Amino acid sequence: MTSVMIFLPVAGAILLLFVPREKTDFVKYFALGVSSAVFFFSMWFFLNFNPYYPFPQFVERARWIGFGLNYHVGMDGISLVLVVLTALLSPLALASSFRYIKEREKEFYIMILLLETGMLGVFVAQNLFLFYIFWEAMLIPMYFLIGMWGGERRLYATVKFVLYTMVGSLLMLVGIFYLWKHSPHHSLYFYQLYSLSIPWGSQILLFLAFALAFAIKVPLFPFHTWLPDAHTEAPTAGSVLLAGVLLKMGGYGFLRLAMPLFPQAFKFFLPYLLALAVISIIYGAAMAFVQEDAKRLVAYSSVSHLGVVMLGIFLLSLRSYMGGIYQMLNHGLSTGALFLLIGMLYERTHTRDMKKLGGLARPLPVLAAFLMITVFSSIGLPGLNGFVGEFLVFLGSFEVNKTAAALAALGVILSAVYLLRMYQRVMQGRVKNEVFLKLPDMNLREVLIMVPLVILFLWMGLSPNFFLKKFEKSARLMMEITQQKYKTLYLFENGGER
Amino acid sequence: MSSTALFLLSALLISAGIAGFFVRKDLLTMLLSGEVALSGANLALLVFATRSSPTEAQAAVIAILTVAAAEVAVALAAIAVAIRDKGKATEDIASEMKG
Amino acid sequence: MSFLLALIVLAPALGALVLILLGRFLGKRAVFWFSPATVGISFLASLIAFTTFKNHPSVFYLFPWISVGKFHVDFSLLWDPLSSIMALTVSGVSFLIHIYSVGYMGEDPGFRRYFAYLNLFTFSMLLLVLAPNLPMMFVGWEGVGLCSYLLIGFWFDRDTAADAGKKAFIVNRVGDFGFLLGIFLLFTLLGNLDFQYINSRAASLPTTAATAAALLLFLGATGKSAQIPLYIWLPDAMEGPTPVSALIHAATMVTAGVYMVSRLFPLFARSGLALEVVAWVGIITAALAATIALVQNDIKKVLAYSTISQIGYMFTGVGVGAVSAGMFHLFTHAFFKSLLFLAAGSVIHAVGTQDMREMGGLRRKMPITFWVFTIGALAISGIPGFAGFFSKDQILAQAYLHSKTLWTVGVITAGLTAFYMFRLIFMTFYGEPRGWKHAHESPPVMAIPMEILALLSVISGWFFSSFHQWLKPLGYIHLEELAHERELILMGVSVGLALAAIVLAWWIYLKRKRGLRTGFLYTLLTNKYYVDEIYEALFVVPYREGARAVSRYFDAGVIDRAVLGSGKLTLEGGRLLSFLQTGLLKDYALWMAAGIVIALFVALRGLL
Repeated sequence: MTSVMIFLPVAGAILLLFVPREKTDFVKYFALGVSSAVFFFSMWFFLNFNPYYPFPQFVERARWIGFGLNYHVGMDGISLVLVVLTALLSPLALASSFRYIKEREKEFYIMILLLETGMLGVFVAQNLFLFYIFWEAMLIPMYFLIGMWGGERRLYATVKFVLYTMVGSLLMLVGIFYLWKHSPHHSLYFYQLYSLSIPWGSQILLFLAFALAFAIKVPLFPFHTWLPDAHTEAPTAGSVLLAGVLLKMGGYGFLRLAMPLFPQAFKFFLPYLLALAVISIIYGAAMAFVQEDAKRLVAYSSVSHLGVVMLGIFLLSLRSYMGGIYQMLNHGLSTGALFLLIGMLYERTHTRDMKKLGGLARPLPVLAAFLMITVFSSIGLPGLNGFVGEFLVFLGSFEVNKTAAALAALGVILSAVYLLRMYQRVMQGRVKNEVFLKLPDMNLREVLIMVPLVILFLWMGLSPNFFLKKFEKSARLMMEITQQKYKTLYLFENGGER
Repeated sequence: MSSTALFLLSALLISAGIAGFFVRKDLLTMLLSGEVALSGANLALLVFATRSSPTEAQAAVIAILTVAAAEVAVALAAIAVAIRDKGKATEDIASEMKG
Repeated sequence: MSFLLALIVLAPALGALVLILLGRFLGKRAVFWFSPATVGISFLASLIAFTTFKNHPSVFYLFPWISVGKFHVDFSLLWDPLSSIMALTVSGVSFLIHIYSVGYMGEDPGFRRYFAYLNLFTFSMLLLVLAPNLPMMFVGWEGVGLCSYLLIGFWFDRDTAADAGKKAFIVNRVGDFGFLLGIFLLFTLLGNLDFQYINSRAASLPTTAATAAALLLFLGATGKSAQIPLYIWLPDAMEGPTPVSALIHAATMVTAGVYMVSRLFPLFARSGLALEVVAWVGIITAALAATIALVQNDIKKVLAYSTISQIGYMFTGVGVGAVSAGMFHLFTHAFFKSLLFLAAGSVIHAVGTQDMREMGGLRRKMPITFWVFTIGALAISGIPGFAGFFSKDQILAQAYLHSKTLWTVGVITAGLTAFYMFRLIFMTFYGEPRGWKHAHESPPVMAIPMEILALLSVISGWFFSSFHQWLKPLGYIHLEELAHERELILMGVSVGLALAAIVLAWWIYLKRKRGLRTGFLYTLLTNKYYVDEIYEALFVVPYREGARAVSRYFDAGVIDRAVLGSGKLTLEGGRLLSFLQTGLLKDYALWMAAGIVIALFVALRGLL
């Protein structure tokens, strides 16, 4: 089942190859249908997941290329929620492109479907080899999405994107070779790797290699400058998936690999990592504040928000850790929604320059209302999703490290500053351009894209337990592995390769 | 035939192929030479196969044949395109990419 | 039982939800009936709860909210002496203001949005007062902040309104930063955030920890309740519609800070320093705001500063340990201040301006408004018989017992209050008409709520002792006894001062017909002590300019340049090696062959 879900989009993409390119409507709805099917699959997993079992479920294994390198997928609670997030955002991103993308439509939808498989694969892979394959495979469609359907400076943005991410991945690959050589049965199965005891010096180097790859992806300050360019140039769907899912892979990589595999090295680098997380929060907020392009602003806000996520994950208190994971979901939803809305605005006004916008709540009241809710979700208004994540992260962090938590909580003020300023500059005040007064408000398709997100904002804000309980056990296990609570991991080896 | 003779034959084929590749100028012949070299290597493999673990070597041979077939298909297509676009298919058709 | 309490909170929530989702399908009259009706239901439910549950503390569980490990917060509602009074006051005043709004905002094209926000506000405020623990209170706390933001910026076309809304939210967020840290600290110390738990364990906390927690929470209170140092948003908040100013920025939301301190009084009392800070911040804010109010010409700004000033009194009351006195002032103030705002709204509605210099002589045209306004002014000035007298007098007496300086500042401020309130009355209702042409009395839908509030502004003051008794079960309610003669003397001084101030106002603004217009002090006051400018220079400008500079010179200039530099390095390296790419197949084949030979040589080295 797991494999069916992750490869369904590829199958869809292959079938699309045989569809004549003129049948754009068929292409669109077929792609949407495929990724919606994936979403229903993920729902099935979500509902059938046993929250009391912390190890991967729905496991599937197959012999593959030998050398101990096998195909091995499964989901624990953390993977599960991220898979659901991916499966939810993909159809929404697809649907948002129906009018935005006007050329090479068939190729576009194929790319998104390929990207979806890559993203799902990263979260379900249970050995490092498979993880790396999906990690890299996902870059290729993203490269094309930005490079072919991007804005004016798309080449610059893609080159930067690839440059950054390749540097990180290559170092990680070297680390993977090392681990392959030293792991029992060369299986690279996560839970077997956790029980490796790696000498101190190697741990430091390996941690640096992995951490760099993931820090770029998160992105932590100072590895963030690819993000604003990539976001600004990417088409809406690309931005949504980039912010909504790809950035989560950094955090996921840290909590699944970099931290539990090299716990001593992690402990050694913890102060620096915390500093980077806190700087990211404040720095990202300050940079967001001075942007003129709405998309760049949201891109920098991601830096700030993911700083909160990383702070929570690094500090390893149950509340902050869970909050960090929860905040990943929240960020995926609310930033995804922000990009969707800015995309809708751009389709109408053909500009994202906030100096030229203003007063749009008059002609576009529905869009303004959605933007308002999304902005407040992102600011972390209690009752909406963002608050729960932020609150848990800060609460948990405060128990462990008061200074870091207090500095990070400044983000509470700063995020309100830049997001409300953005809302004001786009929606409030006088309309600067007479043409804008006649803009059409959101149509049914656009409303239907936003409604599930808004429902989730409220649901995740008012009844977070429903979601938290799904990954509490798994999160606790990962946390305890990282804290080296288990001397031996025979337990896990049994769950490993046959 | 003894395996030594077969090895000699294979060495001959490989040398002939490589020589052909370097001497001729049109792509079609160069491709043919490449194939000759490849079949020489294949022959060597087959000989080894008779000595040890026949199944794996045979599998490898079949894989090589498949690859060769695919490769020829692609190469012929490329040559056809080159002839259509440039009117010739000599080895220097792609030299304008030189930096 | 819990159904009744849930109804109090959920009726307005339902109203807001319906108006937001289905508002466009509802006709004007339907909205006018529906929206106040939901709040009316809430008020009725509070009233029934008030008479049936009385002041017996009990917690009603609704559903679980967040639980991670030992951290556990439920959605539940707390009914106790404090929350019962607040729920009744909030739903009652909100109900009256909803009705008034039908008259005031009925013609505005955005009336659906307006009533939706107003309902949402009532919901959040009731959630705030009925919350049994800090995180739940924070939900309401931020909810009212959101509604305040939405309603201040209701006319979002106006840049000033949009700015004011944003400013209110952000300044409040600064306070929330403290509030949140306070919550985190308390959780770290106690592991539980229920009010009852915190209060029962407060005595066991170390003094410094209690002080830190209390002061952090108080920072939150200064944000919401517009006290020094975070009061600057409230005057700007007057950009919102006037009924909003009456409900949110006078009667209910801005007093949430006082409510919070009263709620957690044992924690504050654990640290004497924290209470002292509360008292002094309160009285200084009261005095400062009163002085600024002396020179304002915008009718709503005067009332805004008087709100800040009156809330300062409430904090002083709580800060000197007299929780019941502070809460009683909150209670009476809710009536007379919303009355004053509604009456001011009635005036603004009639003459179409907020500038008092363009009013004058409205007494005859708007008799009801004039009379209710006068009642409100007498109440706030502390004239015996009116509500404000009883509550303010109680606070001043308790302050006197605590510190004579507190009392002196308080009494002088009371005089200033009387002065600026009657300056307002004389400028608005007396003298010659200046500028306006067609003033008219407001329709009954606006007049009746004002009349009810006027009645409450008189009689609500007479119930102090039963109010005090009602709060007693909380366990930390007590008043210091003051000798009877001393009490009379103090009362005489403050009433005398107030009367003298009224006479002075009469003499200056009606007899001499011109105010004080010159001098250093006047400039200082009209510019509000330049506090906005100072904050701008201290925080806003450095942040903005610093961020700009970092963005330009560091983000793009250093980090990005390093990245692009490494990219260029690769590019140049490639260019250097490009001579190898001849494009001639044979060259490539040659390289390959050479490679194979080398590889073979290396591999077979041992054999050769």
